[in-house]
Amino acid sequence: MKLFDLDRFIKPVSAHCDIPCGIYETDTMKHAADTCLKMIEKIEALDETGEKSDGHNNYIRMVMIKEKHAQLCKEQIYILWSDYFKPEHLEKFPDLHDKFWQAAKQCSKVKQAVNREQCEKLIAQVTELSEIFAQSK
Amino acid sequence: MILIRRVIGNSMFPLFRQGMLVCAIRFIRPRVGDIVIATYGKMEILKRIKAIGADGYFLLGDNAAQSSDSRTYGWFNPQSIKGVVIRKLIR
Repeated sequence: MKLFDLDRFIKPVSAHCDIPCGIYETDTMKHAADTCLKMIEKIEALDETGEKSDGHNNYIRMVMIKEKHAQLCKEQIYILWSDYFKPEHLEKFPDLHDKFWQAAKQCSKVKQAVNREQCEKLIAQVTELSEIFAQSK
Repeated sequence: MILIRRVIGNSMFPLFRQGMLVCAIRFIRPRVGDIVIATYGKMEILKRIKAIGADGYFLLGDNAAQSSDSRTYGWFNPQSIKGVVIRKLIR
């Protein structure tokens, strides 16, 4: 039994994009996941016959872009999950929490390796989240 | 005087996420870089001070892509600053 409900005395402070604006989209998330795959393709196609330092430079740049976009994808997933979806959506999509959780974890897997299969899995998950988002509107 | 507030939204992501509690203190002179609780109409908002000028305070969300702030609302006058955030109370 809860003897003292502290939340009753805590006012909200808005760090929302608006009041709220209600503008949500999935393009950024999909674009970020696609960029990760593009970077993996470019890394795999790196030509090692040229100047060694140039190759290293390009490799590092591509890994950094992959890292950055995997993080962006994760943040976009979190925003949709925490801000857009509401308890009533769970009735229509009962496994919604698990799907978002798994997709967010998949972003980390894309960061951890240059692995095309992991990235394609993320793209499939992001596509599914986008479809859920479209159906929920 | 201490203010405790619960964060709604992710405009201050990644430092502050939805649902976190923040602790702020009133009557501190805000400086550039401080995170403050400010009033906009009847609502309180959580933003970072980007600049201080003759017109007051220019506030921005850390997550600029997901933030409405002084870029939309304009400068905030000193009276609208309710407190300076001193720490987050993760819950």
